[in-house]
Amino acid sequence: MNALVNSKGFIGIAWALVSIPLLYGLVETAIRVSRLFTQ
Amino acid sequence: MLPGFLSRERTVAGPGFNRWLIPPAALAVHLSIGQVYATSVYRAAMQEHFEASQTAIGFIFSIAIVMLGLSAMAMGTWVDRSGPRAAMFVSACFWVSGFLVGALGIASGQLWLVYLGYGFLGGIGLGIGYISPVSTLIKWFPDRPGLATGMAIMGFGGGALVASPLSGRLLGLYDSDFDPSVSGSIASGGALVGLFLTLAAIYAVFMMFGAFIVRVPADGWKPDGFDPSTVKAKAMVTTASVTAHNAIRTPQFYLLWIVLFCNVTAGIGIIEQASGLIQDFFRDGAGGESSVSTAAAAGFVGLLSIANMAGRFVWSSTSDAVGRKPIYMAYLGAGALLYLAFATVGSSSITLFLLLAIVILSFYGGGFATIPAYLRDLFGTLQVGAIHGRLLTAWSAAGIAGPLILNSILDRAGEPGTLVAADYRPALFVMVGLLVVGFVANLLVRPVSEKYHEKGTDPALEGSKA
Repeated sequence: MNALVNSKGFIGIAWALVSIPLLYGLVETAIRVSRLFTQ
Repeated sequence: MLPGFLSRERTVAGPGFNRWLIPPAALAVHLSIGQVYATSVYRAAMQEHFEASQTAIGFIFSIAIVMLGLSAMAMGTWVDRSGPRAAMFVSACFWVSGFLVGALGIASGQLWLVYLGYGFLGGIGLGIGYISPVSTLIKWFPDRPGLATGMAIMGFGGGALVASPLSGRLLGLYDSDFDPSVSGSIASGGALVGLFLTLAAIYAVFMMFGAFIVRVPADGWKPDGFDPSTVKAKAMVTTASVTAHNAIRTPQFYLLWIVLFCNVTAGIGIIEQASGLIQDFFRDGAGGESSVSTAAAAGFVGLLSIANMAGRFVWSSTSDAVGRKPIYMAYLGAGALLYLAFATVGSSSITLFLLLAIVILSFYGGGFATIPAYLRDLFGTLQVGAIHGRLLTAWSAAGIAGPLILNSILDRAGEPGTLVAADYRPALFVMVGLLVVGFVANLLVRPVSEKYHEKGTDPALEGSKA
């Protein structure tokens, strides 16, 4: 199990799992922020 | 007793383990519990569903934040002793139970069940979850503790960025009449139940994933090329160890408590009123029209969230290079000057207003994220999680004091929607005063006296004690 968890592929998946939601949040927030400058 | 697979012994990493797997584990937990700052999305729906006041609904959030501080204080030693996997698992159980009991409360129309669920149970999950990865990250990254804890605590700020739009979309999915982009649109109680149950399922998976992948370093482990003697060379960094029991007897603990309390209270001054603040700062006289629309004000709230999140990572990472005490001098000293400028000339230009608010909020986030590394520097790694947990009571206190100071002053100034920049000045000046108090407290921080150090601790192995 340690070998699987420690593989580069698994580490990439783990980072993707936390990065994708964060990116979604950032994009959604950026859209909201853009309204501040386009009013 | 916890099952064997949760024990610290079962989470010790084997040789060659890649430490870059630990930040995603920490982020999985912090991104989940960061949802607590996205409660405003469904606040109006809650008020409508329970036919309750804003204060009664706001009380759910207040209970959660108070329980965060209390559970972090009470459970810190257990978290350090039991290891991150057990702590993340227990945190997930409490956080998810909070949503489930909360959903039951909404479905049955019993507000007290929401207090008990999301507020009390969820708050315990928040406290344990917040501190669960901190000491583990510090042990995996003895060379860059600010970067490591900054990454995790950035996740807490990011959690709201994710949960806020996600909750809006989910409410729209469960209630076709609800449109989150339309001002005044309110979701039904049934949609709230669906939202709580869905978030419970998502966070259960996410947090358990974090618990599954987290590992603690083996005894004697240190990063390749890391020389512990370089840590010893810095005056404000100890290589000795202080227990949580002894830490709370030192003046340094209380000075840092004041630092955190002042920094958080001042930040809440802007966050709490962000939407109304920008509209009132650019209002055409008392009771007049604001030049900032409600949609633009919502954009300002989003901008502050990004500044808060970015500050956690950027400033905490910077503290590894410039030192913890100097960076808090900037958070509090430069922060006080910026706050003063914000209060006096902030309404003269929207660009200036935004720039000042962004830097102030980045300092607020930085103050949160740098504190674990500051504790590591002063008290060592032995029980840094437990000491951090005890210090988070300052957050709970600030969560009560900040809004209380601001709202009591604004209530006397006039009705919401009629205020102008000048009405905020007394409250903002109080926040400047608090930042100055925090600055002085930080100035007084000195290395911890040797009489509090644990006997027989080997400084060379500090970074590797599991």
